[in-house]
Amino acid sequence: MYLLLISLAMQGTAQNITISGHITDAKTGEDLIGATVYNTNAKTGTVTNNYGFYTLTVAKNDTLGMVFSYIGYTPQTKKIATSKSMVLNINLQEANNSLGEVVVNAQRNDNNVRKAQMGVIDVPIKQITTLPAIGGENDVLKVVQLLPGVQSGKEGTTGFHVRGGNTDQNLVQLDEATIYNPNHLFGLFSTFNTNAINNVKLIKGGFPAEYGGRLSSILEITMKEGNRNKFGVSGGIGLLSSNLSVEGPIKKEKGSFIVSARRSYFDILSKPFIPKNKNNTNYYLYDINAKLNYSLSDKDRVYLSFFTGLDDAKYTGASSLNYGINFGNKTATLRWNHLFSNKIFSNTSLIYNDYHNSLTTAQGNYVAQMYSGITDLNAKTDWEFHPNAAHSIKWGAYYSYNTFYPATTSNKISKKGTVPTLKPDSIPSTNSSQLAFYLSDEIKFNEQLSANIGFRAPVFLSSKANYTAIEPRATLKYELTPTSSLKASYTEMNQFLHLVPSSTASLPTDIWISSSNVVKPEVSRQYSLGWFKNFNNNAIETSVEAYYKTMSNQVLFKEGAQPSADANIDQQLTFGKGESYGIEFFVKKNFGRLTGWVSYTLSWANQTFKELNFGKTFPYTYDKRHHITAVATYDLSKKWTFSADWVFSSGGAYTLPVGKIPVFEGGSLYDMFYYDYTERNNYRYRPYHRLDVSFIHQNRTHHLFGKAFTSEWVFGVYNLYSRMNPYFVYLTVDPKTKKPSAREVSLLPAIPSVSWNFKF
Amino acid sequence: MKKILFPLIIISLVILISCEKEIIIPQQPYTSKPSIQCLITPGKTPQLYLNSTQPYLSPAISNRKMFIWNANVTITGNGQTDVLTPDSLFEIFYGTERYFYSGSIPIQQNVTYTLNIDINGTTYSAQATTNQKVVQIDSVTYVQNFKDIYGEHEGVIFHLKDDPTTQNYYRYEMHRWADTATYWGENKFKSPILKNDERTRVTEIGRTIFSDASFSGGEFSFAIEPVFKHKQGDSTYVFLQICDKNMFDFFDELDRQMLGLKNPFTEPVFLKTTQFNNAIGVFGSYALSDSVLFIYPE
Repeated sequence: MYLLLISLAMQGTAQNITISGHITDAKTGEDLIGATVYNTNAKTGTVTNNYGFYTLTVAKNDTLGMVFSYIGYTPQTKKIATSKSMVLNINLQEANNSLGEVVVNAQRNDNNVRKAQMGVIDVPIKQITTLPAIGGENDVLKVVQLLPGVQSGKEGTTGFHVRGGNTDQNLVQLDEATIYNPNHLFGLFSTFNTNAINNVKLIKGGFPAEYGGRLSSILEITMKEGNRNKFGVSGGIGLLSSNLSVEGPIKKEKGSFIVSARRSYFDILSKPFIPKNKNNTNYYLYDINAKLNYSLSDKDRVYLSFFTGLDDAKYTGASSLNYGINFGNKTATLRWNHLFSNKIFSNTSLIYNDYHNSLTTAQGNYVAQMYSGITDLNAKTDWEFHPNAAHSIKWGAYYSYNTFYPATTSNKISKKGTVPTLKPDSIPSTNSSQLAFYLSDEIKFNEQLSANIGFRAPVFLSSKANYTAIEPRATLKYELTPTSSLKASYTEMNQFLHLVPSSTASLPTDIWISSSNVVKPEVSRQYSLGWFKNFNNNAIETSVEAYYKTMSNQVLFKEGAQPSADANIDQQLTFGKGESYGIEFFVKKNFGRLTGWVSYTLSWANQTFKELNFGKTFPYTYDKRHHITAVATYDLSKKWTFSADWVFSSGGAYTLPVGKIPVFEGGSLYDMFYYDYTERNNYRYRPYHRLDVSFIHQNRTHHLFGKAFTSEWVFGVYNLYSRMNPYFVYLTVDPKTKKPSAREVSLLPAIPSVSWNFKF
Repeated sequence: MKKILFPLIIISLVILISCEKEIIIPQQPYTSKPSIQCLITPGKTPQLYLNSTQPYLSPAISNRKMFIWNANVTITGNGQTDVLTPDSLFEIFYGTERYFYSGSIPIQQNVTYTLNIDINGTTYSAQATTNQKVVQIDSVTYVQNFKDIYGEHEGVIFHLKDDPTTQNYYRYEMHRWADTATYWGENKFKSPILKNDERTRVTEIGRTIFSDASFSGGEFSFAIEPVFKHKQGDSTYVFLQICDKNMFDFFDELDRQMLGLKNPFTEPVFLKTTQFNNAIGVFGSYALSDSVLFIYPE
């Protein structure tokens, strides 16, 4: 009905014409996602979608002025004399690594001010590849942790917490396939090989209706498509791992492919140095990304993406920590783009996902074992309809069939020291389905006022329980001036998959479970208000965003719950609610020799569980009052680039007893003192801060076997001043004096790195 | 080649190496409160352990200093009021003095008793009824390796038939003689007092209370992990305590907390002030079975 009304409205807009097409990289032919299209006559614009497609309906004019731009590329200005709608494909040239900004007159991206969207941050892939990283491994998630409103988890992990939400409340997608565990190397860096990534977008509030399934954020990562014009080989050799990418056209300008692979060689290099009788420490990881795309016609294009990653580690330490872990993701995505007209774009996807995580952890005399397996089969279709300059309508449907294999157990290690194994085949599975429909319209009421209004209707089906919901989504924008705007948003989100965290264990015992009659869907309601202002012809973006979020049906283990292989996990859980609020300040410089951003977040996050903390509200484990980040990349010369990031965060919360209770009339196996806990998460870790730096040296063009190639050296130091940030704290009691004391474990000192990257 | 590889591996290993140090954390404000334990059983005079809880990070404190000396303690039941007075007992095996309030009137069967403790004008009060039916031990056996949530350990196994008419909670009590060769549990505590060939009587009580909720009226066996190390042929006398719900709630919570403290993968258990307002403790009642002689077979 809504579409019909819009169609009728179109009858009165016959004086409009539509310009549509794809914007691509001139060198590689790859689609540019989020590139800006701006009409200078109407002073209106749009951006390309995830497939580089744009459509813009404007009033007829003798000559249309169009500007096409994208960060890191030289903008293009077109004067078009046309009275009819037309297809206009644009190739943008990557800007030279020249010192200083060459083109300053063209219209730069000002979507942050003009679009009716909030809480959306595009992370330039170029910034990711220049920032320092552990072991020289560029990392998407480490950069995401530097954004406002995003808190990192524990030291060395890539888990992130957005606006007071748990890590499971982030939907991390690679080419639309969910990545349940985006970590490598115990979380020191992520599974995403930056050589295979085209675009990274984080949405933390004001969620458009096409996104759902998680409460706190959407991290959308799009893989590269491969060079459509010529074959190329690129790679890198680092201390921890090496990678290689091959790309090229399948048929010139019709299709392309890319295959990227990365593997660590810690296991190979260390083998000669580990005594044969002590081979309990071993580690390797790999990941492979592959993607091909092919244009079947001017209106049809198909994409096939594939990703697999695996970590396998055994670690036997001299201290009390021992663990073995094997986890990995496999995804496959088949997509079909179809243009019904220059105003209607559709994408239909079939997605397969297989994830497993098998963990055995021993600490002291106790061992915990966990297996979490998920298999997803998904289908979705998304439609965009741009009937006129005032409306941009999206609708679609999503279906997912999920199979879960959860098991967890914890007990004392036997006297013989043997640790039983959890056999995945013997773990009973549970199934559930999710269905969702959505509809939204980005409405431009006038030059100042616009809105993105819609809803999403998720449905959850399982043998134990069914749930339905209606999630309203609304974002309003009012332009105060051409360079500043006020925005407000309200969103509701439902989540049917839950990661049950252990708040006290020092290593991950997290396990994915599905909603059931016991485990109700998590629901969030988020209110945001923001002021956005650009300076210096959009070279500098600033924003202030405040938010208030409530979260219901949050999940934690019950007090004293002792995970057991034969116990129903549902019965070991307790449920409560969460609340978070805060204000985020963000200043970002996109152009010039110096680029980067500074952000400050002041936030609170609390939880209330009837069965925990005597029913009183307590701080969330990752409630960190102040969070400051500074990220900078500076072109020192044509050959040298310097990057640095500094992060400061207030300490997270943890629980310690405040009193000790003498009990003489009771069990006599242990000490006669018990703990008097007065409040959950009553202590705070020391503040976390670290500085990372890197230098990139671009080498001259070399030749090998007659082929020209470029190369670069990347030198970096993670945690330059070797701040020993807290990882966890535990208590001990001197057996003789009975005096209690606390011990703090830190993980990562200063870690230098060097890597060499090349590109043919 | 190894000259090149070795530094690379060292750098890689750094990532996996953790650093650990002792830190000073401030003691948060803590108001001490009474810790009360009084378990009554027919035929015996009452004993009350009354101590003050301590700030967690305070140095170790003597039993004498923890004991609350200035309380007025009474137990009233069946029209009689027993005034309890401070008392103490030196435990040779541990080498420590234990302090408690003791009464003089034996507890009677099927009576509801009221415990009143007045400490500087603040009253702590609770009730317990001695209506637990005695359940006798059928037999006691031994197993070298037993596995339960406490891990793998030797086990003394109690066999009994549950009373189907009531909700019951069971725990064991063991009396034996200990000498200098006797160690105390995992802590390898050795008596600081006993000299060669000297022996003393010790009592151990199970830290776990078993509920009959899942086997009401049926044959039941439970294995306990003995506290004291033993030798083949050591003889003991074992009893079965049939406890009320107050005892179960209190000691079960203690047990779950202790498990949580030992197991880093378990959420901490907060002790609740269920029976007393602003005090941690229990006023409970139990019946005691006849004793059974048990001799360690190995």
